[in-house]
Amino acid sequence: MIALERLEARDMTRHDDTTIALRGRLDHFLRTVERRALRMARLAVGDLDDALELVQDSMLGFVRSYATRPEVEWPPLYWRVLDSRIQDHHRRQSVRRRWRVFFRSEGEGEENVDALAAVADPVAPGPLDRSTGDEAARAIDAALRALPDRQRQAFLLRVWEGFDVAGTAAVMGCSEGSVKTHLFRAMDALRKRLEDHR
Amino acid sequence: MNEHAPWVDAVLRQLDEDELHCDATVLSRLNRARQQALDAALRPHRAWRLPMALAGATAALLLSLALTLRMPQAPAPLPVAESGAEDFELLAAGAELELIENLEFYAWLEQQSLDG
Repeated sequence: MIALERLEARDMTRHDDTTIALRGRLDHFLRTVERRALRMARLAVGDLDDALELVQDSMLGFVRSYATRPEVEWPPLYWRVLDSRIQDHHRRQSVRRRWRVFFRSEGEGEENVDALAAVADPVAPGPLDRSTGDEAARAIDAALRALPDRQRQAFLLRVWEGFDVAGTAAVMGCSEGSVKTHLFRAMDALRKRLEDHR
Repeated sequence: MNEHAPWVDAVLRQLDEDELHCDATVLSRLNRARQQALDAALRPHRAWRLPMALAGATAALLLSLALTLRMPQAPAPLPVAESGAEDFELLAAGAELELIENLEFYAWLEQQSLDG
């Protein structure tokens, strides 16, 4: 009986050692991706608190589901989890918006948007030419935020994260053809906003 | 994708800058989020979990047994097929049914004719 207890205690110690080692590796991996994850989430949802919540959720989901997978598989799996959390967030927001519209009386809450402000001036210099520093940063931020979600994700994963087309498709859960289409449209839209107005 | 248009390089530079120059408060919140996620996901399995699960399963089994035993016994089912067949025969022979119903009457009638 005592021997059995000792054996169990030794197994527990070994298990604890393995868990501590795994935790260290996961901590290191998450530390390397968390800032970029936050940037990506913030571009997608806008609000910092929402973005932090998404990053935490994605970390939790990733560790729960994929911690025991080989470490080389961690990056695409983590980005996959974050991407699906971002999509879930947008779905929830869209449902909330629909209900809000349903219950709101006609005309209430309408914003006065200047339609002309959204039209690009072909003579004016592009944001990157006329601005430096903070202004350029704001222009880039605005251009990235203005992209539809899937286009932005395709751009960030393919161009910033450096996944190839197949990897980007795996992370986004779509076909390689879709990735190419999203990426082409994203590049086109960004180029028009950041370069064409020169 | 190593050679980009200048505007793409500008975008990538900006994204990298944002990543590097993260606010201290944000970094602290990220750190806390990471630790919480790791704590929640890698919480060690406690030794008492298995006995608790077994005790729960046993309690559920005992409860279901007790409920089953306390249920009133249902009456034994009638031999539906046989009685149904007999009833059908009786119903089919309408005249005979009438005879059976008035058996006493016919017995009395017969007795009367014999006496007469």
